[in-house]
Amino acid sequence: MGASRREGGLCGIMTEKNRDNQWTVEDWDVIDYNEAYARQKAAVQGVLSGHGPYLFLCEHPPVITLGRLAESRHILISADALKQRGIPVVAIDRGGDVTLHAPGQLVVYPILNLKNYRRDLRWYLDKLEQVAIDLLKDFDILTCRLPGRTGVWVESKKIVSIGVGVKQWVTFHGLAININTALPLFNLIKPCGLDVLMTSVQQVQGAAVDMLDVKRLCQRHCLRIFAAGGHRIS
Amino acid sequence: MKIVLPQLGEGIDRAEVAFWHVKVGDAVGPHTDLVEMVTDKATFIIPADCAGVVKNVYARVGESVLVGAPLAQIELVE
Repeated sequence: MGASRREGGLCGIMTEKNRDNQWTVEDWDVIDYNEAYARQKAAVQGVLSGHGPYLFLCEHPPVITLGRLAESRHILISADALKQRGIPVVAIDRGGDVTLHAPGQLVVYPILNLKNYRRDLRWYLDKLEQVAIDLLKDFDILTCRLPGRTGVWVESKKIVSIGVGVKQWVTFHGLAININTALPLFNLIKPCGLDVLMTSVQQVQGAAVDMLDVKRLCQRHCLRIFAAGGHRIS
Repeated sequence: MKIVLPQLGEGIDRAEVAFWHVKVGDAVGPHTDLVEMVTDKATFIIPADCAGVVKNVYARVGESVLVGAPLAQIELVE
């Protein structure tokens, strides 16, 4: 992929090309949504061609995205007002309804071949939730799942949104975890089409946390959880 | 050759057509994206799996399709 290790990037980042189903992890810092999407799709082609899995960690400038099940009425302000604020709206090929990305939110894009794990979309969504649950536990945040509502919650507030795409069993899109996100931005939408309040690590803890620490932990949990369920195919 | 909705996982018995990448009459190859299905938080792109011409599609965008039900028919190219 285009990005390589930068100054201030992840410790233990793996960028080597590999043939043994090892992960390639890249920290994209803050990246335009469409650019990140293009890189994901290139990685999907790579995995379909036999490359090992990728894990991309990043933040996006403010952007509203509409999944395949999105209703435009779930954007609560006018197109003109959004334009004035410089917030684009992007319709994309993931599941779910409307969501918002902004700096301070960790976005996690695992690109992996579910044929090497389990050909089961529900299983994959559960594992993504587990990555976030274990990560937030490291910050002493007790989370829960709500039956029938994919995502991760702190009591009745949502802290993690999930929406994925799968092409020939290779995954793209992923998780959005509110770390230090400016929560008032969520007033612009009805997140996931639900009447819910969003929360963040910063709000729960009362102080911002270091995104680089979060990324390191996220990398660890992601590789652990997907290592446990995977096997190599020769 | 009929392309059917494959098993998508435990407890998933159907999916909704989200987007057709092809239309009747289009030539396709084994890796051509045929149709994108959606189930709650996941989209699932189904390839043509063979070379040929799309002869028929059996479900419109927004329609729900059961696992195992046909999505499209591809006339194979010799």
